[in-house]
Amino acid sequence: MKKYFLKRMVLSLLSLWAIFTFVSLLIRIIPGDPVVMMLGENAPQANIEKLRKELGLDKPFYIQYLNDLNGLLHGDLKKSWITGRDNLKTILDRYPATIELAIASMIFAILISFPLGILGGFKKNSIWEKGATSISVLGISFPHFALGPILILFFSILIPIFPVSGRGGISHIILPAITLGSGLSAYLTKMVKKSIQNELKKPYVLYAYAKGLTKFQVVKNHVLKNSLIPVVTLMGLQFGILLSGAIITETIFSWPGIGQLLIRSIQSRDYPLAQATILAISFTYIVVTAFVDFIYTLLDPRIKFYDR
Amino acid sequence: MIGDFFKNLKRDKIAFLSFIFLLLYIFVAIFANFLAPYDPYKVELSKRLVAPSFSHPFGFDELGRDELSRVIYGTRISVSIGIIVVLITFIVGILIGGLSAYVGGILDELVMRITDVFLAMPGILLAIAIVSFLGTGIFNLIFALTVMGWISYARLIRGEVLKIKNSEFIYAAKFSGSGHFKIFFKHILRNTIDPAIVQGVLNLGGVIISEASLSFLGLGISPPTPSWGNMLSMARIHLFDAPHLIIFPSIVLAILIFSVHFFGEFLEEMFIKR
Repeated sequence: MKKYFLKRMVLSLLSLWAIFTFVSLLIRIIPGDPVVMMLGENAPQANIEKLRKELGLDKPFYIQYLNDLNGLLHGDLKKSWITGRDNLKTILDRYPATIELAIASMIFAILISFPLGILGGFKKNSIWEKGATSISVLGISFPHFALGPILILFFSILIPIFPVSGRGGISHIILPAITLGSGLSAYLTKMVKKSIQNELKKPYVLYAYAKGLTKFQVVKNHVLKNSLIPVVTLMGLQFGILLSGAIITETIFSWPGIGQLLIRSIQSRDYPLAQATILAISFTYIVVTAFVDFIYTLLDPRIKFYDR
Repeated sequence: MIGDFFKNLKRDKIAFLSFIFLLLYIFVAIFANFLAPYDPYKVELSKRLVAPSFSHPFGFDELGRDELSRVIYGTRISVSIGIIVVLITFIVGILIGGLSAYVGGILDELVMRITDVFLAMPGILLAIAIVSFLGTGIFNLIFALTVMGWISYARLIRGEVLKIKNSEFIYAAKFSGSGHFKIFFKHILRNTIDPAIVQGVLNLGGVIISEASLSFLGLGISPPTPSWGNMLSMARIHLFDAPHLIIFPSIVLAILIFSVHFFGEFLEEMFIKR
């Protein structure tokens, strides 16, 4: 067990390092001179040289890389060259909005998928199973960037119940959460249904019936618990998909999270800020995935090493 | 084999419908220039955002261009990028994953660690990162989608190859004098490739969504070339005055994703689970 944790930790650290290296390389793949790209062709030479120095682009790659790595280890993600603000601070300011949205989407997905999946799993060919299938179909077919505007059209414009965009009270988060959570609820509904149907085939269920338990007792005391463990893990691993979905959902609803920050920084060619944001999103993903792996191993020690 | 395919397809209504739709989309993509009723680039500012009518069933867009013609040309872009990316990633993934499992040892370990790193970036973030620094354009878009796409095939085929690498028939081929090249391509790949082909069909939907997502964010296909993603992005601004610009492209996209998904699941059921 200890060995597994250690191995998983080393793997996560390696991934973190590799992502950092990739992100550092990004500024070097910009065709042409990145500093001129940022400031524009007509910028005075003095400004160009100043920014070049600030970004460490006047030095060879390995020196800039080591300086950046040193900065990262000391919590320094450089400054935005447009606002001059510390990138880490900007990201931390926006972080709660994204987490809030991700959690709301998770809750939405659970509220939809668990009842439908569980009832659909137990009652084959019932209206519940049809409902479960329909939700899966809708969630799979409409990607975020199509579903978001359609929801705004119906529930903010035609029937004005929810605000069009921005962050605020509960009413603000409902449409973005549905948009971001739809794909996940489709996936989870299918998984819950499958997991329950698989569990029902196992011999211990037959034994429980033979013992004289009612269907309700069998389900509540035995099947539900066993069939939901794998689903919970899947949910954790889907968190990363939520994070990348948040980039689009936040753009649609002007939700002030790190996804919107990333797109804005790319549009304004604020490369240092874009790099810092990409790092932040990837780091979150790696940490969450590792955490879920740990929890799962604790819950179910039969799993030795999670191999994707 | 082909007879079996059609027999099973007839039995599964949803898969049959999906298959017909897929053929239809491919047909539209190939013959877009004959099928589009108007020129998708012709600007007519007096017709800006005009609602659908009999002669223009999808209405006009923000520059007074015929929306139906643009959706049809957008189908060509989406379907062709989807197929190109799936083909490239399929070949690259099969070769890297298959060879790394066949050779084994340090190479295999190295390839697996590299795929771990790629998987450490969630979803389309890697593609967004590449395109936003490398610049937009169709080649960069295809490149970015390829970089992130080959891994699923590589992982899949690796597992399959490891399973049969030490089977008797491979030894038999070796002892009867076949070289590595012949063993790998003729014996190993032929017996391991089915799941990867199914994966390819299933991935087509994901690639089309990724392309449209990037175009939607302004990082993929740039206007005036019509792509479902950049059309929806423009339509979002005109939600209040021209809802038809959101509805039609979304539905056309959703039907394609639906069809790819259920046809893919049908293939999975038929070829893998048996």
